[in-house]
Amino acid sequence: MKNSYIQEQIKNSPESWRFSKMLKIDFDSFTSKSSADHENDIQMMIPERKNFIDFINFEMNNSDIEIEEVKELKMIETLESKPKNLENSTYILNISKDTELSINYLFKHLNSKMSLHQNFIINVTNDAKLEVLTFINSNSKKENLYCQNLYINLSENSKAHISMVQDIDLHSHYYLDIHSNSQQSSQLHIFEGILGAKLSRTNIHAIHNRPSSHIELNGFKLLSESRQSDTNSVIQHKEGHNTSSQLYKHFLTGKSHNIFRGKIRIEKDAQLVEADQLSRNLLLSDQTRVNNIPMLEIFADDVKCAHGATTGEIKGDEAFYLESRGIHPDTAKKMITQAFATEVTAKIENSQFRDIIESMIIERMNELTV
Amino acid sequence: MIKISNLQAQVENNSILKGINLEVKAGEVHAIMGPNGSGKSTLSKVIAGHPTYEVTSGEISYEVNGKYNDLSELDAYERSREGIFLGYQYPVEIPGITNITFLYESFKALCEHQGADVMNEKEFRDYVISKLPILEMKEDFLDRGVNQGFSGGEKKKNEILQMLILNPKLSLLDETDSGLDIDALKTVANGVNSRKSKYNATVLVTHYQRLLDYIKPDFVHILYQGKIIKSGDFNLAKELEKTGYEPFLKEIN
Repeated sequence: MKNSYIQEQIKNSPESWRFSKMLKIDFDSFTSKSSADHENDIQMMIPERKNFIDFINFEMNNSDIEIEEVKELKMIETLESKPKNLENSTYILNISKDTELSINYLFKHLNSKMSLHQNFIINVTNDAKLEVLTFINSNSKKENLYCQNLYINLSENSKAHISMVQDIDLHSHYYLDIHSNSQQSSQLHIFEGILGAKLSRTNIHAIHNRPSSHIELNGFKLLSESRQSDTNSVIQHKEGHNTSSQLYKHFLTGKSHNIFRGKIRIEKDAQLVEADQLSRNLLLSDQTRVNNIPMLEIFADDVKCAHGATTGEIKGDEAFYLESRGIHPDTAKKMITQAFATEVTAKIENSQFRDIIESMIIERMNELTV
Repeated sequence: MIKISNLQAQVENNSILKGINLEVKAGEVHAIMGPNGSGKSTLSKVIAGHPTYEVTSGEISYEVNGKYNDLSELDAYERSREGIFLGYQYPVEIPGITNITFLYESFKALCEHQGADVMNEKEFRDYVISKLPILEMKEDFLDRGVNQGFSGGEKKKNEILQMLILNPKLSLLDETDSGLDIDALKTVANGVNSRKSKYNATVLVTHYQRLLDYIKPDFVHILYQGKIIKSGDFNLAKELEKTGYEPFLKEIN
């Protein structure tokens, strides 16, 4: 059963699933037969880039970059981050020179209760730089489950900027698992945008294996109606002299529910680490719900760590501050909601993509704020 | 410019202001002093129109175009547009909005209300830059998030910068001196003094006499338990410095 790895994950870390409604999904009722039709009408949400890959229902539709489908485990045996089994369709992308890539995902024409899975392995070799923009879109009107497992291996002195935005239909669920390994002097920047899905769950396990590396995890989640989003992240510092930073912002309306569980783990020998983490929530209705669970596990004695969580309403001190400077309450409200998003969307390195995503988010927020 | 008569106000059913009478005329600088918890900050917030405070009795009338109007009819943003400025004790951080964007939005709103021509963004930026040396501020302040990561002193300077740009008629400066070292205090005082004129008025709210060494008030009022218990000229502040509040409170009790 293709969903079994999720069920296993739930079994292995029940605490991290405590508030998740995804627990109640009857995974066995989902089938995984895909019915992709290879029409070449994929909606390109991403500005034209040098390289691209398009997937429809997780099957490769079009690509102009060398990407391999992994059939045997021995092909990836030596990698630090890799899927345990290849039951899901598994693609491997080896980046050995500076690359700009866009990946579009589209889900369409699906029957009800389909569960689709993909493993994606990205290896960035020494000194190479990768920038990936990913947009996940669906136009299904039925309840489905989309699961992505992303494995990132960063070699010495390599860089990866990965911005992935998900805007799937509000009947379906989305499961994302990111596993990364960072070697010496590497840089990993991930931006995760969750705009759609009824229930969504993100697991992140980012590991600093060697010194002098930097990991940055940023996220923006827009939740409405009775949707729920659940983030469970672990940043693990195995060696010292490296830095990590995490900023997640959540915009909640209706009866939506957000869960943020973020752990920073610093091992005994990992001295002189600097790590910070911040989760912010902006609530637009009094029926929303938030669980913030920050965790620090520090075994080294010379480190600098900070974490924080804020939850606030739009009509707070910020609004009064603007109004007391002559700004009309409606304008103040707009400025605050926009600012709430742009603080984190500013972390998207590609300015064209950033503009597209920002205007999408602002438009949605304005609709939900009225 | 502003006449406050028998002003009573409460927050969450706790009565804080219990009958304030005060008149401030154009060209004057007033200092409102008093021990912690006497209602000083509340008074300035009530004048600025903070929604948390409820006026239960009395009246604040404010002069607009030569006529006195009841302030209770105006919301906070309208009061600001009519020239009332509140300099905060604890300025709010707003990540995601740059200082210059915030200043420009505010400046535009005031200009449009007053029927004045609005400068374009470039002109406005140059105008703001011209004011920075008065407060010893650097240009990069303008492109940072509003008060985001500012030190206590930087936040207070930023308040005074806003005052210089918006050019209000009535400035209420709430504990502007708190958290400032002596150099920053002089700089901030310099900013306040630089715009003293017969057209505007300043009300300083403070519980230390220290600020008044640099900004000389025409009138000093002691606020205690929601009432002004003594008013005088600058000499009252001098006396307070020597004796503390004790003798004045005894007189009342």
